Amino acid sequence: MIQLDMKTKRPEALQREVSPEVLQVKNLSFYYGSTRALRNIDMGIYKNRVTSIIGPSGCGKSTMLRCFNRMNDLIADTRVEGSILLNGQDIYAREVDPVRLRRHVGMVFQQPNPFPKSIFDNVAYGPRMYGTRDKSELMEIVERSLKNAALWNEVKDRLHKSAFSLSGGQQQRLCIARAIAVEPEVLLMDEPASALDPIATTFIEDLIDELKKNYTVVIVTHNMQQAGRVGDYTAFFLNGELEEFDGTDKIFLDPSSQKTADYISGRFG
Amino acid sequence: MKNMEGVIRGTVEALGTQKADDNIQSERIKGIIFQLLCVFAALVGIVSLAFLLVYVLREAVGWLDWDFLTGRPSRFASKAGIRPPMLGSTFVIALVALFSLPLGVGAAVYLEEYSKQGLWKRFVEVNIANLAGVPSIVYGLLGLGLFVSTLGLPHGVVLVGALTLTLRVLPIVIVSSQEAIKAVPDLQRHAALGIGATRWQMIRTVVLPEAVPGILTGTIIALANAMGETAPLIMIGAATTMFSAPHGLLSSFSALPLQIYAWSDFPQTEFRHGVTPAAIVVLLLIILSMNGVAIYLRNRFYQRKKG
Amino acid sequence: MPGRQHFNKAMNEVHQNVLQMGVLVEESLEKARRAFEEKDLVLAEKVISQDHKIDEMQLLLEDRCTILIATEQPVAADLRVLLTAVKIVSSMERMGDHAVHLAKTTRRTSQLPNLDRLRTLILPLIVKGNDMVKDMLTALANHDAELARKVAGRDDEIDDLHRELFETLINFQRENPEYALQTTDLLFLIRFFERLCDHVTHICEWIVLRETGEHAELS
Repeated sequence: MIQLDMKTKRPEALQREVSPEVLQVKNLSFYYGSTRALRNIDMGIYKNRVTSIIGPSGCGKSTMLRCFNRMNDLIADTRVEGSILLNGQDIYAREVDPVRLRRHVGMVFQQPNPFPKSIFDNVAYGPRMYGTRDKSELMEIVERSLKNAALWNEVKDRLHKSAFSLSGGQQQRLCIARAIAVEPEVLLMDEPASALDPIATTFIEDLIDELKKNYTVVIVTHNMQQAGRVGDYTAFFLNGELEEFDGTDKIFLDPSSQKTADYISGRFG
Repeated sequence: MKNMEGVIRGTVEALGTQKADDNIQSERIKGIIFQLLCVFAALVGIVSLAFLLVYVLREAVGWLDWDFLTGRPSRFASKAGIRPPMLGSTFVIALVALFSLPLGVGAAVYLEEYSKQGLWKRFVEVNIANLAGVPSIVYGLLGLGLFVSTLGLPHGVVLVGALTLTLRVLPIVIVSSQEAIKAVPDLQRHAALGIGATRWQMIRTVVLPEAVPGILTGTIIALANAMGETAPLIMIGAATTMFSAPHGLLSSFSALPLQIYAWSDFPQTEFRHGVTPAAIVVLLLIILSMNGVAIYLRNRFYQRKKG
Repeated sequence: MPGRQHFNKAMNEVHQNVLQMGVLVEESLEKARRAFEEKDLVLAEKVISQDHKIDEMQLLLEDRCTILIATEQPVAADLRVLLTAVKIVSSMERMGDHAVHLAKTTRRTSQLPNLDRLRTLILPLIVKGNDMVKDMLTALANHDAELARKVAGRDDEIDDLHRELFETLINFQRENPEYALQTTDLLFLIRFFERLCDHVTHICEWIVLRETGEHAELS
């Protein structure tokens, strides 16, 4: 008999898919001073899935992303209400060390930001910081991370060259390798391809698809086509609120909210 | 087709005509005048430096030789040398570098990486900026009051001179270190913090390595300034003329600018138009080469950063 | 490495699934033909009961294509593949319905020996139709626009055969009014097989469109 091996199920079926929630956002509000940037967000981030966060500029999507690893803590005069659970534990609880949290929830930024060090030293940065000194062990980690970031073949002969000798797209993949070298559970990506050309973007998107085998990925993108291409789930933020959150197929075929429909079809504003 | 030709011809005519109310020509002339003024401004500095160099070099010729560099001061122009003040200056400046680098970098790291934006930080920064503007003779007074009168250190010794000059250069070192630290892109800090670096790990592995060239450049330029300082050293009682080089922290010393100051006052023409210019040339060479090193460092690190 | 691996895989899956559906339809038609020829009512029932699989597959594939169009922004050849896939599966689903109709007609006519001669006359039409389906699938699988054009060309033959059979059946009906009902059934049957071949022709047109970007009027 013919096996119907289809990745994407019908939209209704997708909604029923149960993958464990790695992160649970519960009634989260976020303030810059007295301005509320996020209000009463509830959503889940599913294990080994790619969740895209989309929305117009200033909708709070980057703020949301930076709540997941408490990068917002670095900004003065900010405040969080509600909670985010990582595997059941509130990451904003008093006893949680944000530094330790960031070792579980890694981040890749909009602009490729390698350190002015060699390719090897960039990838080995995290493991060294965590205390790995053994040369061969570091080499193993660097090789594995670069392979997982689909960069190994391009750089294996020049690991000790400066990271700045790489192209923009390669630098971004290097940053991904650097982030996964410390084996985080969740990988946050803040518009990881917006500074890249279309071909480099395709590489990154393909890579994200590979990465979800081992990691849970949350990606902020202003490019909703990209959300469609890479995301299993899509969250649409508007004015600091979560307007709609659902399977990407559902959002792109049959969004529940008219505002979502307007945004993804480019009829916004 | 015909229409099109008409349009093109019309445009060409319009572009060629100069109407009465057209101010392009007069604006252009104003622009040229402005440009010439700017060139003049740039030349003032270069020409005066060149004049100075030519002037002192011409007078120094014949006086500046190996014996001059290795000899001691003397009442006789033909025997006069600058070894003691040169070594004195070097000793003091080396100590200034030793004191001001950790203090300056520490203060800069505190201000840029640890202190929160706010009144306190602004207060400290405004004060540092003010200190940079305090006349150097006032630093002399401060050094005298603080190190000699209060702490009881002897007059005119190397340590007091170094500490006083450290106070003098510290604001500059702090501000230039702050600039160098600020120039490290936030993206790099976030990269480190995003992998789970502590603040200290981030400063040690990312911020300082990247800021070092900038810090060194600023510090060397500040030290070169200190090299030429005269007034504060006079205030703390440093000798204008010493016949031997200092041998310890608490030994008396003289410095090149002080010796120059003393010689320039001698009545003999050989001193005023021979020995003094020769010493000036040595001082200038030291200062200019320090600045040269600073520029070299900056360029080298800048290029390495670009890969 | 070629870009968009995930999308390429999805596109390949769509192609494979369309082929699988085509094979399903072809098998269904073949079984219906054998049931008709051998008066095998059990087999005929099987054809009828299995048709829902084809219907489900059509829905799945249509959804799949729609989702890919919505989320992956296909252009050029990719877009043609997806748009023609939607059309091809909708034609295939109808072809599946014709197999069911053939099975049902078998159920209603196989027990009447007096109709055997007519059934024997109709059989070549069914065989020729099924042959067209098979060749169409070959063209589809091999991305062969040339073969698709040739297969579509055979539609005329079917039309001629249909016309002949139509006259034969009308004459039979006139002479045997007591079999009016069954003859009408058979008239519908040949009509539906003529339609089946029209569907094959349409699919052939879409194959040509998919492979070359040209609209071909093959019927």
